Amino acid sequence: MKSFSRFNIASLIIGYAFLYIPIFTVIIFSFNESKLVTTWSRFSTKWYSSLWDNEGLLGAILASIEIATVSASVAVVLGTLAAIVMVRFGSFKGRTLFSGLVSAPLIMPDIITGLAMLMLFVATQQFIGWPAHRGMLTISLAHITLATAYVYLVVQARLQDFDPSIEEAALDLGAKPAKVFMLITLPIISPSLVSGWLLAFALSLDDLVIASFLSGPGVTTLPMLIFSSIRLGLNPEVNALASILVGIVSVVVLMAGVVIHRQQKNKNR
Amino acid sequence: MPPLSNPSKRIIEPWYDPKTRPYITLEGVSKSFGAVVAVKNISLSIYQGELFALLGGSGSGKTTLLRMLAGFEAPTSGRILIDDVDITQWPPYERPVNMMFQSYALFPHMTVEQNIAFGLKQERITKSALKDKVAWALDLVKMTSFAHRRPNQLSGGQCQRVALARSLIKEPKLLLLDEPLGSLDKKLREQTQFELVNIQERVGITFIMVTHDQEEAMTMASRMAIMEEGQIRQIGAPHDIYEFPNSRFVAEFIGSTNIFDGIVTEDEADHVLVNSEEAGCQLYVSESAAVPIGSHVVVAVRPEKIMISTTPTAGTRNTAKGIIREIAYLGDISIYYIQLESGKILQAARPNLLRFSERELTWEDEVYVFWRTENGVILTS
Amino acid sequence: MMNLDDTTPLVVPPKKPWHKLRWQERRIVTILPYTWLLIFFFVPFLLVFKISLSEPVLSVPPYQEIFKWMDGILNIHLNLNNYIRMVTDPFYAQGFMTSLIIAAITTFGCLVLGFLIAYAIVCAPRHWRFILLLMVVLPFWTSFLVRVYAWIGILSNTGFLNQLLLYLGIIDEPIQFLYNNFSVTIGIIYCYLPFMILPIYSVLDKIDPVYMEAAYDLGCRPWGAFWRITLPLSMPGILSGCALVFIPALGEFVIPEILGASDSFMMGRIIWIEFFNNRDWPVASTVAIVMLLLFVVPIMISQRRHNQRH
Repeated sequence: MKSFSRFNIASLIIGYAFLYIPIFTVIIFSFNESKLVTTWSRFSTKWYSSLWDNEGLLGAILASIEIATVSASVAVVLGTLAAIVMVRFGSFKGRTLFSGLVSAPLIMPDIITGLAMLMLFVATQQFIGWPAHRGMLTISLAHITLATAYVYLVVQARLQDFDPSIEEAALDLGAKPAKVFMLITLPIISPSLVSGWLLAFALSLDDLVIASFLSGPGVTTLPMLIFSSIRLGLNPEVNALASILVGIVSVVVLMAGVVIHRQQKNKNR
Repeated sequence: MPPLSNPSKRIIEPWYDPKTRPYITLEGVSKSFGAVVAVKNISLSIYQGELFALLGGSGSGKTTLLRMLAGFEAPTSGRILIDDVDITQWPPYERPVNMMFQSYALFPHMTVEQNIAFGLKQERITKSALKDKVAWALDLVKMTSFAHRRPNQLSGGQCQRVALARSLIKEPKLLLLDEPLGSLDKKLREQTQFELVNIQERVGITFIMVTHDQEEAMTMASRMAIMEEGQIRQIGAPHDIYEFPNSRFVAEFIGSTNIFDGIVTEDEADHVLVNSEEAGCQLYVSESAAVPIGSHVVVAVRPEKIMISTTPTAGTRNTAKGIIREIAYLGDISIYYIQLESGKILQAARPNLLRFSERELTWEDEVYVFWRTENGVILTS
Repeated sequence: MMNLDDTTPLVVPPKKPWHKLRWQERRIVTILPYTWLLIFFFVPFLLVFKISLSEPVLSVPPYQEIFKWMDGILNIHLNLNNYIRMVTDPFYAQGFMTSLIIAAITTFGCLVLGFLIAYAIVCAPRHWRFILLLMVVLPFWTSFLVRVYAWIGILSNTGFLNQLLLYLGIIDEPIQFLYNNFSVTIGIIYCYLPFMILPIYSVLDKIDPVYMEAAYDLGCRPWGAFWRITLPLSMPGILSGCALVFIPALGEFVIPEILGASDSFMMGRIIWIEFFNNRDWPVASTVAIVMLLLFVVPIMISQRRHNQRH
């Protein structure tokens, strides 16, 4: 009964316009000769070239990517375990607390999370001397904690839809639980693991507040750098960087879309 | 058309009276989905107060036809009239038609009472009148004590009653039922069958139901239409369709039957003689076939009409010799699968009349089968 | 072929009873994420609470320990001034109010726009949905900061929006769209829209279309059916979406900082300023705790209750 009416089309056009106009603005102004974001002088690609020479920026990019990769990978493990605990294991002592802990980071404002985790590291530094300096490690630990909640959300949804009688069949045929997980469950939920990883990666890459609280001397992440440059009102290289990001992501998404489309075509055959 | 043995015995069968006007008429209704033709040029007349069944397998088009009556699909061509009004283009919420969905579709966020009241809330009606009607509907389906429950707290049978009450409360001109007994277990089904028929007779609303279950259709319907591949193959009362099928398809679709191929050797006004190699005998059918001699026909005999004997029978017509290969014991009856000399397997059904019966007939027994001359049906298609 | 006369037993009995083994294995699996979250998420909040009760000092770290163990005597030094300040100093009360109002408006804005988009995607042909959803999530992948920054270019007095309105002759002078609550609201709606769209979409997608048919069949017109059937049935998605937008919006720092007026303070900014500029960790912690108790905890509890009921 749900027909795709003109009203629907209008909603989508307005919605997507709202979502994408700022992105197009960024891309357009990355080719703007003038430094100002508000006026257009003429077309130029100089910001793209100067991007390569900006060592500080490149360093920050590398740091962010490193942190994001580590955080996403560990978060996937923890999040998947948490999802299994909540979906497959029945009730146990402390389950309510666990379910709260595992979903709270999703809605907690990151300024509070950042503040809280900093307090933790300050306290541990006082009592056991670790960590001596805050930096990539502390930021990663915080990002892992936050990302676990997101990975949990994604994996848990997939696990719930998944018919448990498939696992029971495997057990019945002689496979031990750990093997069942490796050979049966994991392959089936792997798409959600991948999307969980991607989600965690994006979150980590984009995080400013928590990184600011938890970084230390000599460690600047990409968002921190961008933020300080925005504050100073300069540096259109940032526009160029964002445009490159958009370009890469669009290409990746396009490829993924084509692959999935082909897969579906083969399935329907 | 089967012979009218005693016209006065037929009570509610308005289709025999040429003076009654049909209440619901479908004229040349067709529906295609792209290249697929779901319903092919169906014309049908249904009379007021009938409980009409559309019986068919999946893909026969019965559900599509029902949905067109409800207004959820628009016919590609043809007209639908209710009480002589053309409602073909009317949207579902304006039609005097209500539907009982296969999944019941009770609104999960409303109580039983609210579900039932929903339809009337769309009309202008005073609060007290609404209350009275809801109470009447609840009482009709015997769910008064469940008024404040939610659908997820009800069993399947209870959900069905609520769905029925919800659609009946609006007193529609036509009530459509989509596989009404499909999800109920056997005992509940038997109970509900008769309840539905009783309710229908009480409120006097015309029911059209769609089902793939023959037993359901035969028990409940006043008339039924057998559908296949978007077309109606035969319309009639259950008895007429069962005993007087008009084609091989209908004979095989309803119940079980034995089919004998043969060539007509004699065709008179009161009988037909068919030579059948399969049966290994001559088949005598006491009706006329109106076909030329030598033409190929099919004779259908229902299993319950076939009698089994351990001693040879007199006569050479409608009788054959065979060996019992399989026995299906169903409690009330036993079905014997007898292999005739030609190799053909014949089904014969016999009620188990004795509780303690030493196996009179058992596997690998040699038996003789025979049936009365009026129990065969000639089918030309 | 199986030789059934064998003397070897058909079944090798397990060494440990199955249920006990399972329980132990499960314990191990549960312990890893549980301890992690306890250490890195639960304990920190206890520490924040502890620090909110301490006094600021000029040292590293800039707060005084509340527990002092001296000569066998445990001195507990609780400073309640921070909490008193929250109530007495209008600066904080105003901050809370501003945050609350902006978060409420943005949640509502996100809800309306988000619902329209989610509904449109559900109505769209099946094979379009993946692309449409992807397009909702795609902006998420580009730098959040840069996208917020882009709004400066759009909303400023010489920016895109004003240029357009001037060109169309709707206004004669540029309107101040930027550096006020309006730009902050737009910015927050913009950034959090996907968080509203996705939960609503997943719930809408699961609603069986037969309910709409039943409603139509019973005489309900399309608009009425939407209000009485679709909307109530999509409530769980709406509530999740609102929770995912409202609470983070309350504590939002970046967007008010970049797009907001310099004299308008939302709670996120207050915490940041107290922490980084004033080096007053105790007060920052106090604001955080108050925010948690006033808003976050109640909403989490009601979400939990709602989930349990369904």
